[in-house]
Amino acid sequence: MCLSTLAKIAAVAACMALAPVAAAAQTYPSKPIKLIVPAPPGGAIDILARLVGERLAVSMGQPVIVENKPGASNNLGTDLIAKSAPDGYTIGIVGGSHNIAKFLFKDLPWDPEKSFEPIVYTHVVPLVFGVYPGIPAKTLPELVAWLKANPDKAKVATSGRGSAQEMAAEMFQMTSGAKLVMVPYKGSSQAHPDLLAGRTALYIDTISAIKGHVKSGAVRAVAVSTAKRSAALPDVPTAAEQGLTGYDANTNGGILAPAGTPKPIIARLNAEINAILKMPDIAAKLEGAGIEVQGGSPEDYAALIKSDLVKWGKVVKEAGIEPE
Amino acid sequence: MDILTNLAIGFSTALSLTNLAYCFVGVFLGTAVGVLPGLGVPATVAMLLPATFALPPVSALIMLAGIFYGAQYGGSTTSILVNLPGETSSVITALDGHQMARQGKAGRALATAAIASFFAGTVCTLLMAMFAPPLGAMALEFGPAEYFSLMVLGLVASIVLASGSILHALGMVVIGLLLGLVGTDVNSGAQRYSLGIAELTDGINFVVIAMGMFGLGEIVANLETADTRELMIKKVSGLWPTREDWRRIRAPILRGTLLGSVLGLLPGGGAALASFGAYALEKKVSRNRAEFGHGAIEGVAAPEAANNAGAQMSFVPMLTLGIPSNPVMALMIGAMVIQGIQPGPGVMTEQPTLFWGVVVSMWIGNLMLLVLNLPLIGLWVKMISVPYHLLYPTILVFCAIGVFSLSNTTFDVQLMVLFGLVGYVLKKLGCEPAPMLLGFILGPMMEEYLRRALLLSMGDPTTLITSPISAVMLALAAILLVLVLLPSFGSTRREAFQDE
Repeated sequence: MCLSTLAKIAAVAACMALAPVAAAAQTYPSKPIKLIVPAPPGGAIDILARLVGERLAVSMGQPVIVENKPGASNNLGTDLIAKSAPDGYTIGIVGGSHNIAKFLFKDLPWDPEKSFEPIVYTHVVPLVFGVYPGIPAKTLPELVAWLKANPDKAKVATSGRGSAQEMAAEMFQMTSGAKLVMVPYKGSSQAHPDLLAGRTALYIDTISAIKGHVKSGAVRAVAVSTAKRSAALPDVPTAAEQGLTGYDANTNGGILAPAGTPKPIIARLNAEINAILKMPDIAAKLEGAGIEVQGGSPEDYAALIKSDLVKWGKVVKEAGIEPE
Repeated sequence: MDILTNLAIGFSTALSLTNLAYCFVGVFLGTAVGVLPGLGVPATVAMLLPATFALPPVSALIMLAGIFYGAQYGGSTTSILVNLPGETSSVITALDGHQMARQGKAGRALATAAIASFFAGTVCTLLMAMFAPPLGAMALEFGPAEYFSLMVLGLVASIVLASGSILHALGMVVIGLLLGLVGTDVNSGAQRYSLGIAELTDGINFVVIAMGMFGLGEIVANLETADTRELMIKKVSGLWPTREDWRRIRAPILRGTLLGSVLGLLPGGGAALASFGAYALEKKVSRNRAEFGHGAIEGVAAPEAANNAGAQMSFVPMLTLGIPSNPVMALMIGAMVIQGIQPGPGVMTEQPTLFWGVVVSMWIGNLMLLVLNLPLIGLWVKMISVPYHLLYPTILVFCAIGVFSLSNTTFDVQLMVLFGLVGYVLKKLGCEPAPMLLGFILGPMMEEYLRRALLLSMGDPTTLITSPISAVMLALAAILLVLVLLPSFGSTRREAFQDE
């Protein structure tokens, strides 16, 4: 019995004290992981969840169950993620509405920042300014001039309250100074016929939805909404390039866990999902669906949520939209 | 694109092995549903909706369509053999069909029904191929104002054509409209009638209503009627109609097909109305008038041709304009929306394989039905004796599973039970659920289109009458309303429905 024995005992004791946390992270995952999609099947985040979920099951060695929990503008499912046990066995994927909902709903039961532990920024979906070709405007400045000169025809299709399409249009109204009449539709397929017939002048829609009409010439693509050009329409310049400084509207999303999920688990998921997003076939499949793959650290995603909240908060306020 | 290329696209789609298989499943299920009096087509289609999520859109629609027209065949089988119509559209067939069976001419009655149905199905496939493209070409001229007026016409027509009291039909439409308002207002995001329940903020899912009202409500109501199924079938023999029969059924089949095609196009029309109309017409024009009700072969041929034609033509407004003319078409629209296809004029140009595949599959399905029905009569007849104490619980379980799978929530299941009760009470009160479902589907669309039309016209309501298409439709709706209020028309209408 000497000092060294004592030291060993102390070391073992110390190890035992730390054991529960370390062991949980080491044995994680020991059961299936649930990946909640707060939207119905078929949308961008559902496609992403299914592609990523399948690969994640392989790299984690446990089944990943993708569960659609649609309803109440994605708020039901998002609330379910927020209220789940923070043990790493329930994670979720959210889309653009995550950073806008706070400004639209009075009694939102979750907070976009405080209720969650961001894991990884997965994707961004760029939008494109689709113009009725009967309008002579070929560039964004020409479009702005035309809209200002024809206030009775300055009708812009949107996809309903809080949609990325509406936010992008409001932001366009704010930065361009043109006075627009917003005409809400329930999604792209309803808005397209009126745009094609010239009943509306402009629709800022996702590239994947409107690409077909742009290719056929039924709709003229005048600008891309994101800060960078899109790989899907490389010849179309961005709004910022055409003098609309600071214009950057898109719908983005990522995977997150309920607040309080242990950091080692977040780190593990972040590493695995980043690796999956880098797989060429995954990126190619998503690109085909008009989704651009992102990635990065949990902190990157947290920072994006923060800046988006500031951005959309300002747009909603300027547009005079009251929370319901 | 001419008719031949279109039909070629259709054949190449419909003849794929998968689609042939789904078509067969559809017509097989349809025949079964038609045979079973306790189970209606809307309930079956509603139950199968969740199962179609995983299928490609074409296969899903081909199968669901097969159930619809397949049921017209099945319904006539039981009408003729056991005087127990499985569907309202074959009620009228029982009048003369069953008399024929009693006289030992069951085989000829069944064959006549099948041949008449097949002929009508073939003609309608051609009619659809001819008339759908011009309708689709008008698509871009249909803006919000035109759609709104078209739907007003549709709702008015569904009230006028509903069997039973007009006041009841009107009341049901209004209830449907009100239910359709539940949820989030598209323009402002405001909540309406959601009672603070998060599940209601997206509105009520129409599958929930349909399964509740048609599935549960019907089962509960059926449980009341005592089980009086007597199997009085002797061996069915002599399937082939005689030369004399052929001569007698030729004209009625043609007239029935034509009448059915026209009535099928009308909102609220479809198979049931077509068969009643065709029977009434034959009774007036036939040389063998006296035989009607005592086994006149014309009384089988005409309504059977008409109900099949009506069933098939009701797809035209649904596929070309996205307007449902009956609850089954409303469910089909739901199936398309779930598949990410916006029903409307775009379907024909953007999804030619879907559109033409479904059209052609109907002809193939009709052929299958001909083959399926005549030799397998024995099987179908046995099916009538399936014990209901096994059938009904099974249906209930399938309804519950289907509704739960919509958005993985028990709330929808509870809501379905509630609508089941409501449906039962309304049935007791003599209120048909069909106008309600149409109101529920069309109401929110009408509101949306009206508000959009006004936004686009900068608040000028005359946009509804300055557009010629819209003006014509509103005028038609007004004329229909006035007609219905005229006493003479009212009595004719009562007469037309009295056979029910």
